[in-house]
Amino acid sequence: MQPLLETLDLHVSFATDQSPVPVVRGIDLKVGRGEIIGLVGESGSGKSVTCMAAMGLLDDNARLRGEIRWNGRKLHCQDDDAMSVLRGNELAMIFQDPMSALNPVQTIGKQLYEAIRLHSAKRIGRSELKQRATGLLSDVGVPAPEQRLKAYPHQLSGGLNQRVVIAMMLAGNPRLLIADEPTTALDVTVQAQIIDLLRSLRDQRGMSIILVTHDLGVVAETCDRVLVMYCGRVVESGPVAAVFQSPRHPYTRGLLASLPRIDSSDDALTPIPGVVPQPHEFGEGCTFAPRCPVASECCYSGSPAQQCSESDHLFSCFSPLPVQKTRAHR
Amino acid sequence: MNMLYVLQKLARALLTVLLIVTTVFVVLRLSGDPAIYVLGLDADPRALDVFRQQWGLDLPIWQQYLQFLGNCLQGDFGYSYFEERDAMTAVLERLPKTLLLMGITGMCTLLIGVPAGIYAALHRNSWVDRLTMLVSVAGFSLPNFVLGIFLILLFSVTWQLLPSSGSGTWQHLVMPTLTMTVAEAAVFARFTRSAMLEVLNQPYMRTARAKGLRWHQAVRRHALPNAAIPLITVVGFFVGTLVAGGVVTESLFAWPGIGRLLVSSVANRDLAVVQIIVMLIACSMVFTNLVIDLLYGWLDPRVASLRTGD
Repeated sequence: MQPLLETLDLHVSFATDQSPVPVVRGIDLKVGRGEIIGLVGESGSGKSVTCMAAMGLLDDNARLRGEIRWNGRKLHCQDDDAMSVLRGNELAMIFQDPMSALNPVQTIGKQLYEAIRLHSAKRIGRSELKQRATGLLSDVGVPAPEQRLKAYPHQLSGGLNQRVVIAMMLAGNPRLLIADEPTTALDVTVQAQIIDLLRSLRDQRGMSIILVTHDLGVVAETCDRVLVMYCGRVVESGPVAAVFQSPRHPYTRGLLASLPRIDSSDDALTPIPGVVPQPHEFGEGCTFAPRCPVASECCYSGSPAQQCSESDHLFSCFSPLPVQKTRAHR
Repeated sequence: MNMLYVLQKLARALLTVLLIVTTVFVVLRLSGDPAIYVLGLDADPRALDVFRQQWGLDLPIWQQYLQFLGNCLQGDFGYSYFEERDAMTAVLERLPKTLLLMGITGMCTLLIGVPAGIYAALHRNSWVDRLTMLVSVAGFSLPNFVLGIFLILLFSVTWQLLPSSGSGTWQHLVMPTLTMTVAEAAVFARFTRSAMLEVLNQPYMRTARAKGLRWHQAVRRHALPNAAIPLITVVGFFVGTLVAGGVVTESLFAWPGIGRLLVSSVANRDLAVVQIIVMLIACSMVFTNLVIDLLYGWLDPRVASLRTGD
């Protein structure tokens, strides 16, 4: 089946006073209908930029190469008029900090009405607007929705605000929701609620979701497939179960090993040594090589090609880890 | 916005006015004996005594203060020694000229400064942006007495296009307003630009775009209202600098407004007139700030609920 969103060898770099800074370097991403895709990786790995590129919301100094396809048709991501027709209608996005994601000087209601009006062909009367907004809020589990319409964002909690943002994005009934670290700024209990909400959106509306997160636990629980990104490249991707059970790329194993585990007697975590290189430090070879425990000579000279393990489990590494039958980490 | 917020602000404004009136009174009494200034150092001591008695200057200072407050409340703001008539009349006579100057300057400033700032912010780093900022730095680093003299040299002396002093025709207005507008508009352009840039980078702008608003819609509906909030604060200062700039500019162009009257009254030790003008300026500042506070509460719902614990 044709994927809903597809990026083909997507490159994004940002023009600066010096040389352009490459941030995304050849990403192939496929999002199917009703699928939840996890994007993981350290800060600066290009997760958000990839998402913003798909939304057509990159800054003016961004340079794009490669292709983004929506429903098989090429997206003109830097044509604002073309993209603004799609945004909210076909694809929508929520962000990290819900407290600042809403306009502080407008009521929740006003901002919801704006979204509803934007996505309806005909004029809607006041009472229907209110009814629809209330409906959207109760869809995303906001209690006492009618009273919230009159509230300002600062009067609500972070979790509620994130729900409001989600409700706003649902106004145009998009087919893909990009969630860029939607729970990072929230309390743990609220995080679980928001993740549950996202899952139910997929289950009930058949919506596709791209979930950008640092939280591998959330990915394991929620996502169908996962892409592990490092320095603007996908180092490993595949079905969540396969990737987590048998990571083939040392970076993926490193990420998994740096997680605390409740069933382990060992208190110490295993961090990945070193730091993420800056874009100007990207060399010829595998960008992970300097931090990699199994790197050899060839890792520094050329980029590893993509290989396929069993059913669409892909990775790019010269010395992949052996296939594990049981849990790989620990 | 609720009643309590408004009342709080009103009470504070009244208190400020009282404080100002008191300060003005104290400062002016401390700064020398008006009798000597008016009658001269070598005046007959008896004449001085009579003068002091006549104006109540022989009473203890607190009594003078109470009397002064009482008179103010009754609308009696004293008599001008120098002009030999009711001081308030003397000031009110000059007021329209100053208001005219301030009004036109204020309008020009807002009409030039704010759009320039918005445009610069929306086209950040473009040549228009850089040019606007360059002109703005030049504008506000030029003291207005320098600019004024320069304009007089150019337009009155060299080209003889505009009258260098006085009032009456529109030609008289050009140079004084231009002198004041340049610096003010420069400050406004700069401030508007930074307020806009701040707002344009806010996450809610991204949200607005993500839900489907076009760039110009997002700017109009979400950026401008938010950028207006800090801008309103500057308008408060603006009234202050307008008055201060007015004193210099009016003196420079011999514009018969209250700024020039203030300067001459201070020189003549005409207490009542100075008092009225300072109080007038202070009250207009307090009033502007009161309006701004109320506007703030209306523009930014967070302010009203914070202050009153709503």
